[in-house]
Amino acid sequence: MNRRLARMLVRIYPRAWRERYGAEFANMLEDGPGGLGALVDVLGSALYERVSPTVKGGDMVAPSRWETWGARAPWAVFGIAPAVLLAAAYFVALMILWTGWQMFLPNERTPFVPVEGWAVVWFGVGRVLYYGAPVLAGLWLALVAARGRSRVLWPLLGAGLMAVIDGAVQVQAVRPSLSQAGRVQLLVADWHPGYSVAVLACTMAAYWLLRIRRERARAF
Amino acid sequence: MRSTRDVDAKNDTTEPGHYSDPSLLVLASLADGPKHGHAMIEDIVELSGTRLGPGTLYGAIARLEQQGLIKPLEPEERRQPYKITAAGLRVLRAKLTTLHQFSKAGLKRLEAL
Repeated sequence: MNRRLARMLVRIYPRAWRERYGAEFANMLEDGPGGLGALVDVLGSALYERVSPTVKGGDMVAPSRWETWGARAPWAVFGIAPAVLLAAAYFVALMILWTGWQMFLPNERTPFVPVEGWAVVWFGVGRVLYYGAPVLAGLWLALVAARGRSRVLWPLLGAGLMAVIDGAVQVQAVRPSLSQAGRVQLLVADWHPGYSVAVLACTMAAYWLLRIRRERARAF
Repeated sequence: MRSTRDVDAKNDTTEPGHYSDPSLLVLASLADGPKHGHAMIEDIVELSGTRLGPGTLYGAIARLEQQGLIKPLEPEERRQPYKITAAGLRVLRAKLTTLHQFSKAGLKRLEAL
């Protein structure tokens, strides 16, 4: 394998792992045949090492700040933090929507009209962030809960809260007249149980998957 | 990371599968003497028909070393050999005994069909 690529792949691993195995692992990659299979295998292993770090008597990988707080104040880590993360992502998505409205659609009363060119990319980024935010926040919550081996109750409550928020909020764009800039806002509107169930299922599936893999790794 | 790649990709479902528990494969490979990474990969191919990817191999090596089941020896040029420990031999024996009992019982049931 190419020397530069080998060194880049090693950098994906957590620092503690790299300090112990990085040099010998990089040498082995350089001396090996490489190829797509090896690349995918190393990427997968590096990500798994980040999710479920190799532990030596508890001191090779210190618990993260989030994991420590997850044990001390689970209501904050699994309730408030994901809700704040979700709110921040929604805020950025709404800012993208509003700025796109001002830049690309200055003569429209609503940004929800067919667009073309760069506007498709601009609004597309906002849309992906808006719809992906609950899933990303859910994955973060699942990761912290699985790594901290939290009881299922807290991630379930946190995921439930996010699921309810996601199912109930709706974007509203208001521009009373074309001379005004208009505004975009989130409303609590009709509840869509389908969205809520999807977010809850994604988060809890990720939690269980990470938890099972972690337990299996410890069990050998 | 437990993904492995079969040495011979065959779609014939009657072909025996390849055993693919990386940690156990690494212990079994080191049971007949110390080896470095590439030597382990080739030895495991001969032993079980499974080719471990480099990431999977080092994931298993790291875990086994942290558990005290293998230990590193003095590096040989660019290569880092590993050796199985007494605890590793005990664990390997116990795991293989369990597998042996399991396969014996399974084969006995098949014979009864």
